[in-house]
Amino acid sequence: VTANFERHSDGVRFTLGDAEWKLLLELPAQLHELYHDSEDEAYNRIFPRAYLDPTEENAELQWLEFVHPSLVQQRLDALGLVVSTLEQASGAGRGLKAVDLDEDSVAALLGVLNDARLILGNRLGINEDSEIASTVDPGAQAAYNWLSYLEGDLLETLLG
Amino acid sequence: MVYVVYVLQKLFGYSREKATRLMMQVHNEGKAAVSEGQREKAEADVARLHGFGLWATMEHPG
Repeated sequence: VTANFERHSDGVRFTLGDAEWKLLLELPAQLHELYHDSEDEAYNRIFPRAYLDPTEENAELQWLEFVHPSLVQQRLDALGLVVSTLEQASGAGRGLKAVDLDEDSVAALLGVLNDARLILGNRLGINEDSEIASTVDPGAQAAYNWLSYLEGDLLETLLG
Repeated sequence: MVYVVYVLQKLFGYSREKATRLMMQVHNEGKAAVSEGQREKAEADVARLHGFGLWATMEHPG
């Protein structure tokens, strides 16, 4: 078994099977769409309110005007970096592809994996209160499990 | 859950123990005060937490 993430001197080496690379490369376009779709339910999970107190509505509006755009831009920048990084992956034998991640691309990839996981979790009814899906969708559930696994593997490498 | 621990350590420089304690508090009680300060600092911290996909909000102590 090949580890998906391995630490080396300059950063982290990321290895994945060809089929999984294809799946991973589909994520940025899907996230890009969601980051622009404030009508999507998951949008509010990715860009939640900063103030819950209803007497702070003014502060929330200021937040939306001045802070929110930079949060969206950060997400878009991360997507761009993940795409350009993943495109540099090269064959590592036995149907595998690998790419070296530096600190910035590790952070961007972690953010993309986590956002995708949050969005799928939202679709499945998995959230902070319940880790059991309330919606039956085997494809989405498998994708959620896969993203959770990859994210966990990356975190283990970073924290280990 | 490990993700939350990682982000709290990275953003606030907390030890693994402190970050884990805060994560468990969120898990068990629904929320935890992870940072305190005047409005400007609080907003900056909430923005950084939102940047990492954590569901942070601001409220007055009390």
